[in-house]
Amino acid sequence: MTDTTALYGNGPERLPQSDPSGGCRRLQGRIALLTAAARGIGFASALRLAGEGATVWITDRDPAALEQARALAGQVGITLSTETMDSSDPAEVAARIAAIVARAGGIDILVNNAGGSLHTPYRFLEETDADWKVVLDLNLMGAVWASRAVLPAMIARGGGRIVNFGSKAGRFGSLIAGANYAAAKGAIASLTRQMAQEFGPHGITVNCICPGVVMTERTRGLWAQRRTPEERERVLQDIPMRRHCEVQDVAASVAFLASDDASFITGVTLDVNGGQGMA
Amino acid sequence: MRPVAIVTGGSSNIGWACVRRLAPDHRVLIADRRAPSEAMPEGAAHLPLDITDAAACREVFARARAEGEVDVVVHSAAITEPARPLEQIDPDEWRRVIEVNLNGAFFVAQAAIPALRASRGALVMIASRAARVGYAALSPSPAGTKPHYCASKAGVLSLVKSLAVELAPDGVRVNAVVPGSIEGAMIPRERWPEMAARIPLGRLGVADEVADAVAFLCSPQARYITGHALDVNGGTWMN
Repeated sequence: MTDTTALYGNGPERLPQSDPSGGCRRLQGRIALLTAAARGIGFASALRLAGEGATVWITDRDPAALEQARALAGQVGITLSTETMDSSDPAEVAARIAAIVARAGGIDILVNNAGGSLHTPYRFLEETDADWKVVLDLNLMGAVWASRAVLPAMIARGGGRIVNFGSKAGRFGSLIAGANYAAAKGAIASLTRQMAQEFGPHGITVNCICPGVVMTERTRGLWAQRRTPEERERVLQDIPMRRHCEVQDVAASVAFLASDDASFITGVTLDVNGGQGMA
Repeated sequence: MRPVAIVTGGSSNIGWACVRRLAPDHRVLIADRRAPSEAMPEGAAHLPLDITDAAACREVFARARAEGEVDVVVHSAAITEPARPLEQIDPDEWRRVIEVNLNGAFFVAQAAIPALRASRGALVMIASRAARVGYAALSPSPAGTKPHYCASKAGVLSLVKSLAVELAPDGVRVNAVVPGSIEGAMIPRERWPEMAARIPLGRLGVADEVADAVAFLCSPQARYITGHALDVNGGTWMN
């Protein structure tokens, strides 16, 4: 009989930590591309998609980080193909993704993971136009440019999946990132809905995931710097599930939206926030 | 021993799809007034239940707990009535729809809580796109709307949020799946083509696709998702 403790229930302690597939095998034969995926949510998602059988390409602007990601993945028996790419440079995105599409033979799944508040100020009145431009370029236009580069091939294949990253920040506000970041993430949700409407007839679903704060190296620093210990404790107590988001929580949702299990789901904003915000 | 899943309204349509989806790794108990008309999957059983009877709901959960750990509860039981102008709705019809769809959801949830706390399990309630946008917006009809159905399903969405907050500290997650136009008895077949033309994905959904979303929300893949309403509607309404 199948051991179902790994399949159902909620306790993270019951998860097969050593198995990047999460016990599922839904993506055999699919080709996936994840942007800025050498670390954090992107890397965890790449492992998950590959673990479920997809052929996975990841990009990042940091070649050393890409090499490290490839080596780490190799330790759990996963092969990742890598390409150096700065998601905030439109010419580079167009050229590098065209090269990936040509070498991979097409893309079935695009995960627009590139994003971040890039250490711009938290306070609106301290944010300059330059702070707005860099954050909008990476978080919003990066997804626009990557989608533009992938969509013709996806349409030619008769369908595909695009997973964008919004954020709890774009839906309910942020305690650690500024208005530029929240606005960019809000725009991602609008972009998702419009693309879902336009590309639905081509069999392409477009959805976005809005994670709560994930304690990566980057956010842990901002969290410590921008909130007092008392505030941090209070926020944690305000999250119904009493913990912050983990990268694997998000990776599992990426895999779901990329799989046939989500074939009639498009244009949605999937909140992965432990109940911190309920729309 | 396989864990137990309870599916209310499990004898037909979306509930039946959930039964089949959960059956491979659960002892599925179908809590429904009627038994399924098709052969039940291996390990599934039917328990007669009228969800408007709070004591009967408690009894079903007590029986289920005797069979194993109840780690999944899917509440799919609901009724609808023909669309008609609000002015012509008889108060008894209004009360009946609210009694089954909203009060019934409360009775099922209240009965499920002890079992779910014990298993740190997951509850999914089936709402409807009607809860989001009303009925007229979906299917403009001069004949009228289904205000009781829409209001009852909006109540279910709200109930899910309250339950999610109350039960999260015990490790129990509560979410809603919000189907759009799904092939099945609730929509007359002659209307499918006209409805498909308004759906970005170009077709109606099928019950199995709703069941896939339910299975996702019940699984550890969704272990940090609670209080969420997941739309399965092909892009007809996007939040």
